[in-house]
Amino acid sequence: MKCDEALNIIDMYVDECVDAYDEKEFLKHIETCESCRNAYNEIKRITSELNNAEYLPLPDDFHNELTEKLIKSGKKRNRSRIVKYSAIAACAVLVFMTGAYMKNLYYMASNESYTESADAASANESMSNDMLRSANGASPKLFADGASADVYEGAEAGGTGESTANSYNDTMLSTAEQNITRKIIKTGYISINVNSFDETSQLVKTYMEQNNGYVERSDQYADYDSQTNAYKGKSGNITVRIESTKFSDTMSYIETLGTVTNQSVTVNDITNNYVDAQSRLEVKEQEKERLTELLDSAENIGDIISIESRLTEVISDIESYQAQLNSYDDVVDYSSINISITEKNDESIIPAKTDFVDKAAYNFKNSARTLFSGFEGIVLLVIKLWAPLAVVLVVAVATVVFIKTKKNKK
Amino acid sequence: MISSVNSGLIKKARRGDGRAFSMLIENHERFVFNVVYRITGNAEDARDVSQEAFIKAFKNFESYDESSAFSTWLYRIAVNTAIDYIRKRKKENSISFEDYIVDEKNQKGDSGIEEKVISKEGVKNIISAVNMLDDEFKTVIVLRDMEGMDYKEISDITGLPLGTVKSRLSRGRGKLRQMIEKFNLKPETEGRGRA
Ligand SMILES: [Zn+2]
Repeated sequence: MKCDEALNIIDMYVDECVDAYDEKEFLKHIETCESCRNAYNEIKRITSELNNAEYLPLPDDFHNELTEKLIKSGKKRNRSRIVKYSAIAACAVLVFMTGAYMKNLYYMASNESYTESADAASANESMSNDMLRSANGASPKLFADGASADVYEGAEAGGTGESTANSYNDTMLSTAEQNITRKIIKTGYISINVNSFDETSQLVKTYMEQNNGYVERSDQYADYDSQTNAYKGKSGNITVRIESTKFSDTMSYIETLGTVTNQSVTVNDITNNYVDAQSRLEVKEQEKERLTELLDSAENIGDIISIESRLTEVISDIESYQAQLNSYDDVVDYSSINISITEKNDESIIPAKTDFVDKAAYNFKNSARTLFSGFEGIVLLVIKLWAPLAVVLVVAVATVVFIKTKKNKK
Repeated sequence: MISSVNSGLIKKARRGDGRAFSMLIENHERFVFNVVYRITGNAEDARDVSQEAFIKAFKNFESYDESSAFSTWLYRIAVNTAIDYIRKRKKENSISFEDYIVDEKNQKGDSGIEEKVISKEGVKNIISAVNMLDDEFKTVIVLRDMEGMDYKEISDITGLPLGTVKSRLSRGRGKLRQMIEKFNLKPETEGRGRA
């Protein structure tokens, strides 16, 4: 080994990371070469002295000063959170007021068609009741979900417009601070005996169609008497999903379809899981923000690579929390009802048909409601779409006129 | 890893409770302060910078995944914060050994600069000699020779390639040898050279 090779290897030898062959050669060299031996000894001395350097004591009051700074920087984060929610609240108030404005327009437009609510005052009164109900928590989902549908639900209730905007503001801020309402999964089980399985399952399907629900699963089978082997009738299970707000209505409706032999409702409160997933999501989103900032200011490749790989992890976490929240929302917003239907050609059961009056009344009420909400929807749609509709109208009139004049010419 | 006894504190700290975080780090304060002190070379700066590092750690506490030692994680943040700090400080640079060598060459034997450097920085021992190294050498020397990290760890923390870590380390040690000769520094164990 030559001197320059030996000098090259000194540091690695000191740090104990040269291989056996180099080590042997190196030791052989410094045995004979004084200047390399001196260099080695000097470096050895430097490193061992540095290695033995003692830690300084902490400066006075270091801990207290730091604790204060930490508490302060912790508070800052909370404050920015409140600012964030206030901003959301402000936006929601704006949406409410726009909604209220729309609603007033709607009532003005529809006053003539309704003799019952002939004057705007009574219309407003009924709206205030709605609003009160909403403020008391009948529709507090707004913040938890923030979905546009819910905002709209709130907007419908905001009937009296600007004069109530302030009280709304308060309600919303307090809702914002609580941040969440109970998240409850309701599941119903009901067993009924009926005269006709087919008729009953058709009624269930129709009801679901009319009420934005759907049949998730259904099966049916033939029942035979275990002893005589005689055909007893059809049985089956239907699982339906219905908006949670319509859960009890739906249960009551199903009760009217036959003789109830068994009925239960389970309530599963997943608020904690929900809030947990939500706060994890929030934390991850904050982290994502910070990492993105960090990435912008990163100065070396090592930093960039480690930030980016962390960012990828965080984004996939965000997606999975989001998916979890979505599936929670799904089971909370839509309740399941498992209906077990048994066909019995037995005189003891109350046939569904005897409930004719009730059912008729129900159906009447229901279709009236449907009609009303349909009408309301159309009017609101017209208000919203007046400009494009006007264009369509003009084109239609022009077409009719065109065709007529053509006919006349013939 | 933080002991499981502290899991309540960890939860609180993750939610932004500064007092909880302060309790978690209390035993690491001296250690972090000293790492930062060695890199920045100035106790007053080290106080501010190490506190800044702790606040950074607090704000990024969610990113600590508990799979690595808490102290290693803190260490990383502290070292990076200190390196960032000296990088920024470099712009308002003070006299370093590099400058000294260059100036000496330019001024050919004028000993004015040498006196200034010695009185300003007070090179009394190897540790103050480390302090006079250029930042790029000082960082690897501190991490390797004072903090006992291996090449790989240094490369991870600083983002430098392994080869660069090695070459900076041997060049840094070479500069220390030059300074020891220049200032006639004797080993600590044999008493100080120039007091
Ligand atoms: Zn040699």
